[in-house]
Amino acid sequence: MEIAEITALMGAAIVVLMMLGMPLVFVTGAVAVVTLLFSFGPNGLPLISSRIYALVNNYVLVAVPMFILMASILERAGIARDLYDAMHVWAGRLRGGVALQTMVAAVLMASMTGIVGGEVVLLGLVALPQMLRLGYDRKLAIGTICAGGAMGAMIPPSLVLIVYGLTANVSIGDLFLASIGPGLMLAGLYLGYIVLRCRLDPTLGPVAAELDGMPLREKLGQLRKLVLPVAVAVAVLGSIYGGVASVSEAAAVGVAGAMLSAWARGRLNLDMLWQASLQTMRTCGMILWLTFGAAALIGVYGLIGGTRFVSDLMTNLPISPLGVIAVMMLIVFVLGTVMDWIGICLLTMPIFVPIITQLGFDPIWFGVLFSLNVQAAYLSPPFGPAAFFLKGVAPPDVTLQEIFAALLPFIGLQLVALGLLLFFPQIALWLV
Amino acid sequence: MSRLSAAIGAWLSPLFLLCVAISVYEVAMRYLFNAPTVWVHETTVLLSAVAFIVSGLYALERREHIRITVLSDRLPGWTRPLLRILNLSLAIVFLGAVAWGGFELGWQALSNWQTTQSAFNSPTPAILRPLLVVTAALMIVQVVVQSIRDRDG
Repeated sequence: MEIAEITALMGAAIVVLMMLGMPLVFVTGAVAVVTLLFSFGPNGLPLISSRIYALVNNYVLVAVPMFILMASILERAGIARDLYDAMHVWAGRLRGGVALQTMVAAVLMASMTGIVGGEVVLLGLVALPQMLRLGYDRKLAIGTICAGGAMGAMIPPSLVLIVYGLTANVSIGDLFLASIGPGLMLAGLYLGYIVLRCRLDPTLGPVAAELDGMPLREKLGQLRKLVLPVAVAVAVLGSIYGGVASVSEAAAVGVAGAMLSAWARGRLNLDMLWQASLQTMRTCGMILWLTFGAAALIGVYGLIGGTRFVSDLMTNLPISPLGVIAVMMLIVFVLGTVMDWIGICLLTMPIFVPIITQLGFDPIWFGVLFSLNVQAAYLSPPFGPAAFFLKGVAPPDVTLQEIFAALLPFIGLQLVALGLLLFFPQIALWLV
Repeated sequence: MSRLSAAIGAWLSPLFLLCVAISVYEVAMRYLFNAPTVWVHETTVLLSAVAFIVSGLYALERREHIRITVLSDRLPGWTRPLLRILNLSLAIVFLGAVAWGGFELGWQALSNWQTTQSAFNSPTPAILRPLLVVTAALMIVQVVVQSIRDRDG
């Protein structure tokens, strides 16, 4: 059988099985095994476990559970809620102030944890009732929360960038540096959009008069609670950027810092640490075993010549190199609407990264493009995870349709950001 | 069986905290006392890899492996047994290949007590390779148990 036919068969099998609700790890893994048996016979089987062994025996991967643990501890210590409350008092007389403040808080939270699910849930619980009560436009409120929560996909320390760095074999510190510019640009676009909408139609974001009375001293007092957690975030990122510690070590120091912040507010105890470790174990099982299946699949696909096939196909397209990147981004976006980002990263990046390097592009820049794209995928129907997270905690009359409709303008802004980054790579690379 | 899976996962989860502790120790030793250790790096990899492998069993017991259920939830009731059998066979194909394919290398690594040949010379292959085989086998048992339980309602 030709490689093109095998590719089509594998793709079709994966899509059908996935749609039938089978766990993704078994779908990718079983397709890998069948392809392997078909091409090499039973002698090829040790390849699967060797791929998994090589993957887990990797120092960078240690950063993943560390960051999950850190997020889990910060969450249990109630630090994210404090952050939100401290930002809340500054909303003041500004039109759409609470929406703007939610977005800023979301970016700050993202720089501490980098886990999208938790952020959307938290903002959905804390910020959504606030905005609805104050008479904010429902769609604006919903969109702000999901889009803000999804920022965790690209603001460092983002798990997306760590996994990309692992697959593409590039420096994670550089990736983190490069994502700052585009991350802030995207946040700026969101903030500008909210301000503009509220300027055009003041009923969308009423002024929160109740917050007027608070004296400045009290407002500053609120900020004091945040000193420790912010210091933790700065220390973690600073030691990565400064080259003082490896990403995994910095993450471990971050966990220690998170424990310290929890201890400072009297919420550190054995039960809490135990729950946080259990949570880490569960999340690892979910995302890491998925990577095992995907790693097996791409390993087998590479062996049967699939990687070269896709690479030839892409480089022989009658379009410019930038067009090739656009095609890749389109593939990632389409996959992203039905599949988890970690699976996409492991499936596509081993094929895409060599191609873009060959075309003379910077893999760091490509990684940031990828994380921006993953963020859009988080929001897009039919399977945008951010929408499902929010649906889980929103009032029952908020439907999925309404959430997805609310997200459309924000997805548009993300595509604008993606386009800007595509044509002006300096936005990402000026810091590196 | 489910209780065993849950217990293994739960008892090994503090490994993450242990990793944190020794990594912080390493950073402190290096910067405060200028005495970097040789063992932390490899031990962290080993400990967290053990947890990574076992986490699959834990997530399986809690049925938390990522799936897309939006469409499958709308399928009529008579398809349920078919989907269950499909799920079972996919799991057995993949996990069976992991266990079967890894068995020989795992046994070799274990019986020779294969080490990393580095300065610290940790027995990483001798532990991880057999562990992967055992975990995959346990996961097969777990999937079969769950499948039978689902059939009986």
